[in-house]
Amino acid sequence: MSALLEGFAFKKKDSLLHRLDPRVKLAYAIAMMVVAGVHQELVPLLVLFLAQVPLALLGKVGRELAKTLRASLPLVLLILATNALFTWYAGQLDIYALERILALAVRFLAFVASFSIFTLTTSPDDLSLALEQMGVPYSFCFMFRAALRFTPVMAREARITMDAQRARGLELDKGGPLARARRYIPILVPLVVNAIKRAWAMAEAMESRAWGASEKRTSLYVLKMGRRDYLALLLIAVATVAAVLARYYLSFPCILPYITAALGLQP
Amino acid sequence: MPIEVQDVWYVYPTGVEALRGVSLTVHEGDFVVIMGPNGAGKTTLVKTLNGLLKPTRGRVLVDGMDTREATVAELARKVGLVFQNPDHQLFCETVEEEIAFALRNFGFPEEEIARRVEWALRTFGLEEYRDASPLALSGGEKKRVALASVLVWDPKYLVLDEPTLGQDHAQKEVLRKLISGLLGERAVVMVTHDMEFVVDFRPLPRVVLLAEGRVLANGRAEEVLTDEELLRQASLLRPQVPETLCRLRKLGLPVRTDVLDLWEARDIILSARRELR
Repeated sequence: MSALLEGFAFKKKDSLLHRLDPRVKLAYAIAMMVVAGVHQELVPLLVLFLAQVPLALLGKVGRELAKTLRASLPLVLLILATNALFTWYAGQLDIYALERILALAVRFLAFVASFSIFTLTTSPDDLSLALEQMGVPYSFCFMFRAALRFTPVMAREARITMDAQRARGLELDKGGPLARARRYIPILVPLVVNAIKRAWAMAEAMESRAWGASEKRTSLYVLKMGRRDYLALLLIAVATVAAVLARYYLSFPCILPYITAALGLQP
Repeated sequence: MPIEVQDVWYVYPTGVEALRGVSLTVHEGDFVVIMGPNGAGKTTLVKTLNGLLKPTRGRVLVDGMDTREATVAELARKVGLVFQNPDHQLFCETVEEEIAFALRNFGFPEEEIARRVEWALRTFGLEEYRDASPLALSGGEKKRVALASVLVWDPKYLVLDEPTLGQDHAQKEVLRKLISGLLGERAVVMVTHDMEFVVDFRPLPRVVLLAEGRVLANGRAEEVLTDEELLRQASLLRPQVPETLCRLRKLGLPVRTDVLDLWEARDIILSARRELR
């Protein structure tokens, strides 16, 4: 889980994507979500997913993306397993159903990849600034920023708490999955209690420094769209419209039957 | 048999070398205080004693058992480690359950658990809080619950990481009495910054000074804590008694400066004055 979070964490680098306006990148991530949500067949989703790879390389975050995808593998397996199980239970598990299930998994991967590229190339501060300038109330932006800021702190606290309980004889990886989940209670309780305490302390510190005193906030940095940003936005818009139209005007073949036939397998 | 730390190196995954060849022996019934500046590796060192951290190089033997070949739970049975901040461990609904937590983990029989919890509540003056939530207690009380929850399984070696952090003077005195009562029966290893807390212990402990992951000094408190050069390297202030003696010496009074006990210092000053006359 921590690897998955790590994969989303921003690292300061310089690339075309890093320099792009955060609003454009947010638009991209949302557009990809729409396109991936609209399509249902394996072929277009696979194309969509693979299209993220050159983009990640352009943003110099290929390795980080690979890490995120690897970390999301357990969730992919969960999607595959539960869908396969229920389809099989309903007695409808044939090769076409299998392709649909595979498509669901690839759609999830496409989501993860596009959002990962967005967060990997956009600093939390930029993102918060973008949200602010898009009219999102400042308190929400701040909440978002604070949540990101405290993720590593929480991770550290979790490690210390785990050590403290292990020093009192807690064995985390003993027994079945249910017993194992129960053993996390001694870690979760202090963690949540401390998080709430810290939130209170932070709120008090902020209020004592006159947080929210001015009605209209101004920013030191103001985002401004350049020619490059408008161009990228145009590209995204055209690609999105084309991809959505493709859903309704093109028909995609199922590829699994061809693959199994080519491999000489019985369907 | 002792705990033997043999030329231990520990490198964190981030690449920070926290320990660089530390060697140390804690005998049965020993009283050892580990001091040193922030980032010296004190907490890292105590975490290697019960196997929470396995040395990158070198080895730690607990009663002859290599910590790399034992689980933390097995080692914890002998080496009880109390963490700095009780907020990182308290989670039960009542103080009683909190103290019984480790005993259940170690598989003690129920009657034995009841007996030991009773003993711990009495020893630590927590009887009136037995049904209270440990999360609702004051800082000093939490600290006592955390200490009780470890001491209750009677570890042969008790390791305390910064026990006086955030405690007022009265609470420190309670803590000192508790710790003093344990000395002799079992080994106590204490990590602390609190110089005056250390020098008021009788018997005085052995002091290990740590700086930048290395052992600067390991010897009797009277020798280590009165050595100006060593204390400077470890960013520690000289205790008040030897500080006073040093200043008197500079003023021309021929006194020894390797003294920590206030009454002994008084006698030395008085006899030196008599000689001057």
